[in-house]
Amino acid sequence: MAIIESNQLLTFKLGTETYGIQINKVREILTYPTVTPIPDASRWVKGVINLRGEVAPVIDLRVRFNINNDPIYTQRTIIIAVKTQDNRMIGLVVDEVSDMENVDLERLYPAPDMGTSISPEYLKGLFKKEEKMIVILDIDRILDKDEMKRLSRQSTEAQNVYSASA
Amino acid sequence: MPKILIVDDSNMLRDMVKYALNEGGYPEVTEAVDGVDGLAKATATAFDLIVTDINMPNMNGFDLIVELRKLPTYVKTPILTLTTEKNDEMKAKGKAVGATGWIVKPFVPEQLLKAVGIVLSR
Amino acid sequence: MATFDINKYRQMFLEEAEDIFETIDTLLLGAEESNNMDTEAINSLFRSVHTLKGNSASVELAMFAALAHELEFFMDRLRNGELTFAEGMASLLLEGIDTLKQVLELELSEQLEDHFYETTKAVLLQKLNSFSEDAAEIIIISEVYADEEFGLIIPETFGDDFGLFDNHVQLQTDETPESMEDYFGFFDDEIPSLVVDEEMFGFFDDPAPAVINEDAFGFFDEMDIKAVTSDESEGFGFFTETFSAPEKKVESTLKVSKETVNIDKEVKKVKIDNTVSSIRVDLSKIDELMNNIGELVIAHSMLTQYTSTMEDQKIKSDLSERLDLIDRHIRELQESVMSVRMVPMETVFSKFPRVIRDTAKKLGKKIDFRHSGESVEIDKAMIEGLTDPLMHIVRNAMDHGIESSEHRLKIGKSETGILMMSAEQANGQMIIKIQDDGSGINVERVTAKAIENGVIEEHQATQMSKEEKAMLIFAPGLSTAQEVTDISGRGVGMDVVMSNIKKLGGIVKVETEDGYGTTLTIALPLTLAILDGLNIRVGEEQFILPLSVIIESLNPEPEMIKQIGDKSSEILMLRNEFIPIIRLHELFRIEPKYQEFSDGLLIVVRSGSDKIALFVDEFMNQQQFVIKPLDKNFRNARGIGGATVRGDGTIGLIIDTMNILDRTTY
Repeated sequence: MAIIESNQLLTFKLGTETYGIQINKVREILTYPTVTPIPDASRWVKGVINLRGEVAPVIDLRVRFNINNDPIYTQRTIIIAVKTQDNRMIGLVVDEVSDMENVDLERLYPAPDMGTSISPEYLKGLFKKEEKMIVILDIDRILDKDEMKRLSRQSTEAQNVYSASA
Repeated sequence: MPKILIVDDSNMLRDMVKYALNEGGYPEVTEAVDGVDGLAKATATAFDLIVTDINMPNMNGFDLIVELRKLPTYVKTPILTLTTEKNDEMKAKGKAVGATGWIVKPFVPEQLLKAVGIVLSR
Repeated sequence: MATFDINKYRQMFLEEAEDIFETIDTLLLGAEESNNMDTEAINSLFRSVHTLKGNSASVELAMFAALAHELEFFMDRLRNGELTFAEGMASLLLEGIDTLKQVLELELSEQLEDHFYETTKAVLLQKLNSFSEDAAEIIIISEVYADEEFGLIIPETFGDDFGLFDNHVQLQTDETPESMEDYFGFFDDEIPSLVVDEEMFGFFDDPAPAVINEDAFGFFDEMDIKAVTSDESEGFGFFTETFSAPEKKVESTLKVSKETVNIDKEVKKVKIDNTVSSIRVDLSKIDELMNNIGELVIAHSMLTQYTSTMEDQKIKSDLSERLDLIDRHIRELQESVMSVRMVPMETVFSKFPRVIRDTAKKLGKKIDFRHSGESVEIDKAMIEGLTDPLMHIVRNAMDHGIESSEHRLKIGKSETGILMMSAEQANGQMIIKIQDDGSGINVERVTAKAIENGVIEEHQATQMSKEEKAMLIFAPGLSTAQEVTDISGRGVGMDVVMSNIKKLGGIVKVETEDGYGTTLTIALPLTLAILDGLNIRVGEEQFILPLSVIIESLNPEPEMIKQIGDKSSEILMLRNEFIPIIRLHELFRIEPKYQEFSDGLLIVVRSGSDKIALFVDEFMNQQQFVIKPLDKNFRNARGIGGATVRGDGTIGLIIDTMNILDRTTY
């Protein structure tokens, strides 16, 4: 079965920039529920929630990409629930959900090396419409299992060093 | 819509027969894993056709047919056997126990459906 | 037109083949050991190989099928008395089965080369033929047999599904023209009133004109007119069509088959009583069912929680009563589904005789494998994770534990070493023991090695008990064998054994006695799906502690607490035992309600073979939880083993006491 790339984007804000993810990755948009923190986890892993019976981690993309390292969470904080290629459910914390947008994925601008908060390796490309610029995230790359494990290990090792010296 | 019972101890072969039958327009297919199971299921429901493997544990296909033919419901019901061998011994025994016909394994869906079509249209 | 999804069916075939191979191995090993093969065993063997042959042909594994056919032919001769069981036959057949497995693997991966296949097959055939008095004759029979009756499975005939059967019929009719008479003669015996023409269509009771028109088939027609040339005709047939063989031949085959029928009946008699009809179900389907029940449990507890907030006492109590009823039903449902997941330990044990035989042969040792508790049930989901570690333990025991026959005799032991494996359920746990009567673990050597490799410090060693030292065999990179062998390798593995068993939520214990052998005890939870747990609270957070690890809980008196060194570690002194205390709030970095032990609670739990005392604010209710994995996205957080969905829909974390202590040694 061919992987059908969706041309519809869900756009949202991280800080001042507008980002997009393909709508076929999105399962649900929800407001901040009770999140169970995981001891010892990285700062950008807020914890786990129950998403349709699955234990899904909640990741704050703003913290993950150093856009806002000290966000405030309220009952109005938005979580976008996405399903990765390998069928994991993950909640992404974003600043606000903006709009739906139709794009031609064939005609994206390549992601520039500079000018976005997120490194180009995590991006599918840029989409420009009139004055707007939307950065399209490569969600499977960002949420890659090995990558997440690697990052969480790094950050806890750093924490352990810190706590040992404290 | 004819009801068909498949009796085979191999999950794979049951699935193959069932698939072929479903594709050929016979959605009402029941599976049984050996002669004993087959007999139990055949007693509970009146099937219009039974397709059975011969070589099975607990009760083999031939013994199953013998038992089935004793039941009033199944005196004339077509019973096809699935067989790897197509030799005289098999034929003699098949005939003796009252089976209707045989289908040689391996088969393609088309062949199975043709045989099933014929016995069901009789 | 529909076609079969070969890949899907190959996968199914593989699954079934694995079971069948196991059955065959068991039968042959039994035969090898008793140097005898009874009728039932021979029949079962024949049936197994026959199924392999037939089913593999159905998934286009032609080479495999052809080789299986050769073995089947041999077993058929054994079955019909042409051959008698002789010493060495079982070993040879085991070898044959190995070849079969090898061919299967190669053919599946499309790496089977013709030359290799032909050579392997020829060697096997030659060995098989050595059991018959006149080898040359067998080869001929074998070939004829193959061509005539099993043509379908010979590779080159695959393109033409029915070609050989035509040849077969043609050939016979040509040679014995009078047999044509036989072909149709039988009908008259059955239903003399019917005219010959109709009979040829093969229906007893039906003129069946429709079938005549059904030209695509019409094989009986053709049989009459042109002695069968249609390719399709023999793909299926009717038994009303009779055999083409001469009378005499039929007689003899019938005689044989009558025997077979009798034997089959005997087998049936033995087995029919305890026959439970069964189906194979994909484990994932059961998991799905389990998940659904989990959802039901959650929905139920949400409702219960909601009910508890109701103000109208009458409605509240009515509702509670009904909710209790639902709760009971859910539990029953849960238990039934759980029982579906359970399979007898037999499934695990049966994998061993073959491996033990082969390993013993390789090592030149004599080993008697005994097992008990075959009927004890285990969660099917655990089998996969359990087999590898057990395999390793067994190999290790045979390699390093049990001595060579000569040595055993010299030290006054019986020549044959004993390897015992047992399973039992006790205290809600599955206990598996692997026991050998070998030389025991040389704990001093293991300890020395552990010090040398930096696994432990010398001063630590002096404080360790014998058992603790023996446990060092599970430390990474330890092997005390003088020589590295290809049986149990370089000490890679025992640490893997430990981590695999831990993954299943189990613990391992070692008892060893110099010169008398070693016993490894593995304790596992009965299931991986549901957990009886205790809710505990630390600060604002709640965690779930598995009941199975809890030993006791207490409010300690101040004098029971001892502080060590810089006061960073605290010890609970309980009835002469020193138990390290872990403040859960520190481990999980949570702001606790209580800092003083006297305000909160200490819960003494098992952590592997050790005990630890967990300091928590309080404990709450006891409950059943459906376990959900947590490691899909993360490496395991220290002290956390899994998750569950709570009644209010939030996630609860389950504490894993095994990885609370950050142990560098075992």
